[in-house]
Amino acid sequence: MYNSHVSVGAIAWRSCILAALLLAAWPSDAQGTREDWPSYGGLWNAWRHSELDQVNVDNVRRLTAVWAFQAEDGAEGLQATPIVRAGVLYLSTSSNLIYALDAASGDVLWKYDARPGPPGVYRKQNRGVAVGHGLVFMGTIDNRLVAVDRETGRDVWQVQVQDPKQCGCSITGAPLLVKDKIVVGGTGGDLAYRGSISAFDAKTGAFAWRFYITPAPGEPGNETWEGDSWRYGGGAPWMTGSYDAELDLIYWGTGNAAPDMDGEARRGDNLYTASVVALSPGTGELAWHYQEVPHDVWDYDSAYEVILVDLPVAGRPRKLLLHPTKAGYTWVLDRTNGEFVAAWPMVETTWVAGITEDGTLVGRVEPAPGKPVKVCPSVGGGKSWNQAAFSPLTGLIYIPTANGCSFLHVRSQKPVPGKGYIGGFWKGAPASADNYSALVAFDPLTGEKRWELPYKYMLLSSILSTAGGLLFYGDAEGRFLARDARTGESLWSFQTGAGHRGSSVTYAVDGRQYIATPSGWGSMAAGGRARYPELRMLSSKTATVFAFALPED
Amino acid sequence: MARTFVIWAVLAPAAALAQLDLRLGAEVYARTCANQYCHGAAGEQGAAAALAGRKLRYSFVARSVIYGIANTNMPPWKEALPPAELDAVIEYVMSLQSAPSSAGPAPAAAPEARRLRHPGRALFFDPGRVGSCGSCHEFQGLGTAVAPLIEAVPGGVAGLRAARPARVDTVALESGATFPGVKVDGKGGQARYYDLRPRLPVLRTLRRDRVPALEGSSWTHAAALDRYSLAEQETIIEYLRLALR
Repeated sequence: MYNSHVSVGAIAWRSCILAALLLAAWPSDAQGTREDWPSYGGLWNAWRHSELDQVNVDNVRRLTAVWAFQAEDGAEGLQATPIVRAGVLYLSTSSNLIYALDAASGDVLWKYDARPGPPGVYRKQNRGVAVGHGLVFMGTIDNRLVAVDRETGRDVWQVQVQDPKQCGCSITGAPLLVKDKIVVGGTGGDLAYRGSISAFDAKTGAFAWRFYITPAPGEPGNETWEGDSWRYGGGAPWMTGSYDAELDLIYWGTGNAAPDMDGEARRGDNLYTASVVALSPGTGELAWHYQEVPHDVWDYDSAYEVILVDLPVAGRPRKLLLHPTKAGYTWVLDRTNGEFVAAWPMVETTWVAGITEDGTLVGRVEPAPGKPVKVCPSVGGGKSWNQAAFSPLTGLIYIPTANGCSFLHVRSQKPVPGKGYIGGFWKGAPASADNYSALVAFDPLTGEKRWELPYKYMLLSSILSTAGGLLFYGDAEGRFLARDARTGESLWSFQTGAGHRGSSVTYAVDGRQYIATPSGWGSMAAGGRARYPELRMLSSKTATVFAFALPED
Repeated sequence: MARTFVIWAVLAPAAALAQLDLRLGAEVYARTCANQYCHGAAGEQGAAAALAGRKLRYSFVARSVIYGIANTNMPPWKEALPPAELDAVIEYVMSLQSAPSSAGPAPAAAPEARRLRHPGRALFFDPGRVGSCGSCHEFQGLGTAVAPLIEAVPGGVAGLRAARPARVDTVALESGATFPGVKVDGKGGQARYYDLRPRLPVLRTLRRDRVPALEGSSWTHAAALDRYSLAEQETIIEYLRLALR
């Protein structure tokens, strides 16, 4: 017996959620102050939630623009999450510029140019920097990791993580700084290559460790790849992981197996693709793994955000992680050991009939040579890489979802190292829903929808949650909005003049709370929607940051 | 300048561009258009439209490459590629128009294939070995150019281990520690060196007034060879000999 909604038992314990959450709201090992936005997902737990509450549901209608900054780079819009430390906002642009701005005035303090030559397969994209040890860290389109002096913007060190000519890959995700290590993933899930996560000494740039997503012969997991297929198995972990300081584990979502559609070329489960891996930050040693989509044939990366929450399950407090993925499900795992807790669908999911109570996929709909299949979600995923937020005030997870389906065709292909290795192609197909996208408030354990805001166009910005009871995000039509996290009610909006692909943050300088958002449309997901030609005029590839605050009395 | 070029490129008849280097075009195509999210290795169709054998008109191809196609994933390349590469890739796509869509790239010449298949090449650029030869040596199109170009091959493994490139200096840090460094450049008050101590060379930018560099170093190539067995080193030498023949 199975059901696509997994029962997690009676919900009588629900009333204790709030108490448990409030205790966990601000970890004692916070990397910055309460006024900062220190890491890609906010804190290491990737909640995208700030404890700042000066701006709240009662006064947000008075929010006003205080500065705007226009970056000299509109290649692919502005896709980053800015990092804010001690009143300085660090912004990366799609072509690998870094700007340091006075976070209160928007004045430029310095600019660093790491622009490489023409882009490879994955185009010009960058999703953010990491800041610490007096340095600002960024991965580049040509696969370097650069470290720049935080005060001056001058070069300190850089290292070629892998040869882009050889792997075809790039670094687009923000690095994760954990203690003395700077950790990066890379693109390449659709290339004939081995995806990996690499760590370097943050101060010196010295190589520390590398975890290959596809294990070599002699390593555990290699038996899940037939023949030599592990060499070309992809699995690139292209987004940013999370960290639990108490368990001292890094959590990282991994990409799809290559060739994407042709599963016959790589019989087996194909570890550790489409998985969550828990690694020791000091050594890169694998503590546990959980493969969400064994033997993926749908391009369903599990590369997205890993959100760390402590919640009671069946009356027992558990250390969990929430993992919304391209496959259209959010997986809930025990982050101490990788044990399956639940999986619930965010959108229409037809690629499996369901997931059993022990996490097994049932009724897989797989394409075969000469036998294309239609599956939902599309290869673009049940959400894009822009991230969900978790609010400890409501205990809900807020996910920008995407509706769509694909016809998948298999066509066998010879692997050429570092070149595209899809093993087929696809054509988009509409989902049963009219709206392309929605912002949905879900119960994190059951997937019960609390409220839903349909969007005709795709929502491609991350969601920001604040202790003021607010959610902030930008839409495809240029609006930057504030909503009541409890009800979804619209409380405030500002037209920034271009669609949103970046992620907003909040911070405080000298006692004043600011909310800053990138604006400017770009990326692969943003480009291919011929369904809505009118979006063209709303989707300019500009690169502007707007900052808002309450008026000073 | 760029504007003049674009107008010229759109209006110029295909015949006038026929002498352009199709090889450059194929190379630009391979790195920008060929992935399977887009047009496929030989224009046979990836997720985007097929290009080969479609009798596409020159004006359409040129306009699409230069300006992109609105509301699709086809981006404009006019800023991303230099003019010569734009011309070449347009010409290459035009060259696919008469070919049947199943045509792949021309098979490599036999000696080339032998070089590419040599097991020493796989070792030299082994992606599963952090600190492979390729992480310091650019060689025949792959790798990172930290060391000078390989122009001669040592007689055997002993020679390979003993090699002491003249360009390695001893660089002192403020802390008093030193490292074997390959100087990249020095301008203004700064100097850039590759630090050869870590498994992957780290390019450090140092303040020149604070970093006295001593000429020469006790560093030898043996320090970079611990990733390979002696037999593997022999195989790599064989490959280099073949490739430089």
